[in-house]
Amino acid sequence: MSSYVCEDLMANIFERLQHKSVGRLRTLSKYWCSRLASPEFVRMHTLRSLKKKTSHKKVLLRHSFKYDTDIFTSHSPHQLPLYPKRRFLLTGVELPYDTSGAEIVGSCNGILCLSNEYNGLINLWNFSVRRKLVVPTHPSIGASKEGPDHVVFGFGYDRVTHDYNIVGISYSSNGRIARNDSSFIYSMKTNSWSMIAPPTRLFTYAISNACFFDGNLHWVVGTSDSSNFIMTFSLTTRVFGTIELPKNWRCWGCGRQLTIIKGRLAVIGRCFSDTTIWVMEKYGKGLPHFTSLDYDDDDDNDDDDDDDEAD
Amino acid sequence: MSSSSSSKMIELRSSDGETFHVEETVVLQSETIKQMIDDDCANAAIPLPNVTSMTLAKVIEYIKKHAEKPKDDDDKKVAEEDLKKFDAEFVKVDQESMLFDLVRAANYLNIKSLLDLTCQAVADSIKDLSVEEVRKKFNIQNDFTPEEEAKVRKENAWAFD
Repeated sequence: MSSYVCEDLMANIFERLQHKSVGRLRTLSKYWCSRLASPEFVRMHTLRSLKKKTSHKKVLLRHSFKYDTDIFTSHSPHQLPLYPKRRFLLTGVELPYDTSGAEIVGSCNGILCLSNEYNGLINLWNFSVRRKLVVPTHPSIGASKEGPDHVVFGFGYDRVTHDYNIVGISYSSNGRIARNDSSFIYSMKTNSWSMIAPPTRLFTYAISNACFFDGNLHWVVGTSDSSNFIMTFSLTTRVFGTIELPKNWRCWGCGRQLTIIKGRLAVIGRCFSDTTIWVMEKYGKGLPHFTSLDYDDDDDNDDDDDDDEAD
Repeated sequence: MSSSSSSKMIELRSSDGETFHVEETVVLQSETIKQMIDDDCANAAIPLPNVTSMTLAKVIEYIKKHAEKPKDDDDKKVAEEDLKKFDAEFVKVDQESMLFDLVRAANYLNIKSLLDLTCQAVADSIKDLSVEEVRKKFNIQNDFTPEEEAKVRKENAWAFD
């Protein structure tokens, strides 16, 4: 038995394979079927493939059809089709369950978080092993009759505890004071939600999707006096904070999205056909300082467009 | 290697009783041996009951090569290239069992870079194998019933395209 190596060493070897090989090896035996889909293996496999020079960041594009299942395609950022819907001859990946009506909360290390506001279902979907994890319902959904009007979610990875987290903050749009039992965090390790201290600054509506950057989650939120700010949440310290938006923002109440442009947090503001992009210099140091980004319409490589996308 | 003459020598003994003398600075790449030296357990020959003399000779060849220090920046680039070539040649072993021996030895001696190198080499060698061939290579028992196997294969059909 010269080729005998213990299971941990075998896992160490299998972590280095491409996800397709890993998918095949799930049929080796019962033990490997479950181990190769375990969060620990998936984490190590993802980290290893991120380290490899050959692996590049991929952008996942979602294509929704009215009466059909959603299809996801993955692209290198510089190979994004300009009109994805028209160029649909790419091999797509169909999720093995219905995703219509589901919103993309975020993605991290190849794991996609989808939530459906109508039925409260949240799924974590691992692109590399094509597996989904159904997350227990957010505690404040269905907890009381006059439950929250909305829950805003964010998804990220805590580097300290090596855990994937979903943060869900429930809020009501009529400006009622946020209750203490409105904010919860989900841990993938324990597969459960636990209560966290609510945001210190109240908001009445969430404008952007969550953006995970530098260990923190960010949302653009609005208040009843129609001012906007960025609400932050640190996955490590589990504390909410705020970042003020640029004061000379031309227009309020229009679309706002957060994204990451060349390693910096950026706010994209949309007002009719006008688009303004602000990038934040020196994140987390001193007062927030945004600079407006000049961009050329012809150069779409760095621009994020409206499609739901995730890396 | 004139500077090395002042370095302390450590004696290692393989499972089949052969002894090897290696400079302490070289052998410190093994976390396991480093721990023994730190704990003052290295006054006599260090017994390595899990490593044969053939494997140990290879391991020593590897850590010796990796202990060489480049003199200046120009030299550094050359040395890096040289090391890459060495690593690539190092894992080209005649017998596959030797590669597995090296994986186990690197794990036991806790030499991270060697473990990475050898595990990657095994991974490269199995990436195009069929599931049955991987089972054979790692001695994995297929404990699925035919129905279960068909089911799990169907679940992972995307990987068999």
